[in-house]
Amino acid sequence: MCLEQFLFLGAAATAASALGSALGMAGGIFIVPLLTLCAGASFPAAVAISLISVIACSCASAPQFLSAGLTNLRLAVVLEVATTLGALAGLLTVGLVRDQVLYGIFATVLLVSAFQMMSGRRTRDSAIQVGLRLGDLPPGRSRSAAAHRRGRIARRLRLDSSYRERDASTVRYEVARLPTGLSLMFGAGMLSALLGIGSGVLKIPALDAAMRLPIKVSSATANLTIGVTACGTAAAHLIAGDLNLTLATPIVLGSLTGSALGARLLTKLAGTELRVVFTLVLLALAIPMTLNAFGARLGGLW
Amino acid sequence: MVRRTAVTSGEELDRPLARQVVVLMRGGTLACVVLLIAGTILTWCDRDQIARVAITAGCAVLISLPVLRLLLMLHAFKRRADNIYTAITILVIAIIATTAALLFVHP
Repeated sequence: MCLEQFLFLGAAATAASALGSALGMAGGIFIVPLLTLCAGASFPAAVAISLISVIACSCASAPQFLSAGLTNLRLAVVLEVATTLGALAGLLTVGLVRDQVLYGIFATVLLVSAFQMMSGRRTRDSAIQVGLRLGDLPPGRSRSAAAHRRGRIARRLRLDSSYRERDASTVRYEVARLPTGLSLMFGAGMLSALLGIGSGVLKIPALDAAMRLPIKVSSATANLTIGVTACGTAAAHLIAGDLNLTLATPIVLGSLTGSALGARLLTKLAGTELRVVFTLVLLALAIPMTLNAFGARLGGLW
Repeated sequence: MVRRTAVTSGEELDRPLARQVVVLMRGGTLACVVLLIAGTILTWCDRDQIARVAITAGCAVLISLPVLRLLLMLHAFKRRADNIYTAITILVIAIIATTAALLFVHP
C-alpha cells in the first residue's frame, strides 16, 4: 500500500469515528462502505477489519464515559449476554448468506440510521426521572403497578442507577422492559457479526425506547457493550487468518485517534449541523451499497 | 445530594471498578497504537516479517481488551460475593470463547 492510500484510509477512519463518537456510536457503519467501495476489499474482509475498528472506538472512548460516571457496568454485562449470543448466531449464519444479501441488509441499516438521525433521539426524560430530580416524589409512589411489575427483573439485578449532570444535579433512572431490550440486543449482536458494525441502529430502540435509559447513559453503556460484542467475532477472524493487516493498520489507528479526540472536540459544535452531515453521508453511502445488493459490483477505486 | 438506598448499594462498589477499567483501556489502546505504528514503520523499512508480527500483536491486544475488562469485572464481582453477576460475567466470557473458537473448528 502506498503512503497516499494509507493516509487516505487513516484520515477517513479518523473522521468516521470522530463523527460517530460525537453522536454516540461507533464509526463501523462508515468503515465497511469505505473498504468495499474505495479500497476494493471483499465484504467479509471489510467486516473483519470493521469489527476491530468497532473495538477500537469502544476502548478509546470508554475512559471518558467511565470517568464521567455515565456507564452502567452491571447493565453492560447483562446486555452483553444477549449481544454476544447474537454475535455467535451471526457468525454461524454468515456463511449461509450471499454477499449480495449482506449488501442489501447494510443498505437498509444505512437508510434506517439516516432516518433515526433525522428524527433525533428521545430528549424528554421519563416521568420518574423528572420526579426524582425534583426530589419531591418518594420512589415507588410515582410508579404505576404495571411499571413496577415490568421492572422486577431489572430490580432483582440491581440495574437501576444514577448519574451526575454537569450542573451537579443527580439524575436517577430505572431500567424498564429488560426482556424487550435484551431481544433487540440479540439482534444488534447478530447484525454486528454479519455487517461489522456497532449496531447503533438497534441499540437506539433497545436502550432509549424500550429500556427508557437517559441518552447519556444509553450512549455510554452501548459504547462499552459494542467492544465485547465485536471481540469474539474479531478474534475468530484473526485466528482464522482472514484479517487483511495492511488495510487494518490505518483503519485501526484512525479509529483510535478519531474516537479519542472526536467526542471531546465535536460535542462542542454538536447539534443539528453534525446530524445533517451524518445523515447525508449515510444516504450517500446507501446508494452504492444498494446497487451492489443488486449485483453492480461497485468498488475498488484503486 | 445523592440519596443512598439499598437499591444503589452496587453503585458505590462499581466506582473503583470503573477506575480500573479506565486504566486498562488507556494502557491497552496505547500499547496497540505503539505496536501498530512500529509495524507501519517496519513495513516501510521492508522488514515485512517482523512488521506482520507487530501489527498482529497490536490487533490482538485491542481484541483482548474487552475480555480483560470482563475478567476485571469478574474479579470484582467475585470478591464482593455477588453470585448473580459472577455467573453472568462467566457466561459472557464463555460465549465469547465459543465464538472465537468457531472458525478454529470450522475454518
